[in-house]
Amino acid sequence: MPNLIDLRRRIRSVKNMQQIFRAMKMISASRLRRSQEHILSTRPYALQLRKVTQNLSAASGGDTEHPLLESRPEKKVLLAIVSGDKGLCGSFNSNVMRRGDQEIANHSDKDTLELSCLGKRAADYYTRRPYPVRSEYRKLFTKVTYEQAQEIADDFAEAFHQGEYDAVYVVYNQFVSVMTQRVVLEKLLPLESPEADEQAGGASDYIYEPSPEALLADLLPRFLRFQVYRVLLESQASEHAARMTAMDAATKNSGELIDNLTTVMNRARQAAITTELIEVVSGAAALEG
Amino acid sequence: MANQLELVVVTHDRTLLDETCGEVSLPGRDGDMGVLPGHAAFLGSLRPGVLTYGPAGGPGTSIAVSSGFCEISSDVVTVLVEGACSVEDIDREAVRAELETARKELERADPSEMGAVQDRVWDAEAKLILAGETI
Repeated sequence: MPNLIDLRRRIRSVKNMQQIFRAMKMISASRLRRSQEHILSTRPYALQLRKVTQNLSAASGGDTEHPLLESRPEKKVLLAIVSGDKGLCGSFNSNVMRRGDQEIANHSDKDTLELSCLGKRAADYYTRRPYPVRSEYRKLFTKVTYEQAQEIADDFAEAFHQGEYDAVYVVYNQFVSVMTQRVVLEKLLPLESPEADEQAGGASDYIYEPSPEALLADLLPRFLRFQVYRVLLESQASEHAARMTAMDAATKNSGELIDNLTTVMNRARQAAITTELIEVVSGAAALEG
Repeated sequence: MANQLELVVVTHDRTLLDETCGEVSLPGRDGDMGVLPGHAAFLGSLRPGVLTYGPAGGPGTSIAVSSGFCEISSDVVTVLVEGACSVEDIDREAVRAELETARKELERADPSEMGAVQDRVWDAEAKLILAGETI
């Protein structure tokens, strides 16, 4: 028979945990909202950036040449893996790392793939394994800033430009909705040749200063920075969403556990009372007899 | 012809300004330029500097912008920059320190980095000018 005092202690500890889970869920919910607003607020810039890019490619006649656009046979690849800095968020981190492992398995020859770990979890995981890690950023997600994205993007661009890598890919959790996050693999470099938008055309009416080609060369690195920034923001929103869902489930589960334990405890209490009563009654009966 | 311009300043995390004005002055990569209503369609690159907007001929409001792009079409001036700040946001001490380091780096920067470092110098200079300091 389980001891009453032990049961009470256990229920108390589960209740304490439940409070922590609930608090974490609320915190994640509010951070998620902020993250989503953050993503939305980058929209105007994204829209304008695309408009300018399309205009410029129309002006430069579609076939633009720039080091960041140059596509080469993929002999050596850099894979950036975006995880979170913390755990307790369901399968958020393990999903992205499983996908990372898959990609590594595809490049069985070690010399053809290097990793860049964005987020503490991925950094911890991959530095302990025998994979070549080019760079690791451990404290990205306390606050995602454009400057960080810029630093990462410029490093990638430089390495790609120097010919250290023939392509740069990124694996991250795409934010679909609060309930769903999808792990996706995207190609960062070489950049896709921007599509010329014929309708926005009127390109010949524009005055360019400097030339469209020079403008495009100025624009592409910014485009890459913005891509990295967007990936970081999406991953962050996904992390908060995943944590919120996980903590919600944990709160529910601990509620169930408390109910079960309470039932067991009440039974134990009742059993104890019954035993005591029987003792009293049989004692009295013995005296009478 | 309309005699008003619409000025939209967009940074990577927000739309900073969306105002109607009579005149805009921009720090173009190849030199400062003034824009009045009826300007021809234009697409150009901006260096870090001071952007001023206001009623035509009158006193304007200034903000410091980092490098970026500017598009002008049908009396809408769209400015696309990575960062911008107004006088109140400027931390003079920090900017002056940044200007010193950037200037020193500029002296020994190799040609490939020259552009980026020059931008940092201009950025700091623009902020100090805006704050009314001498440089």
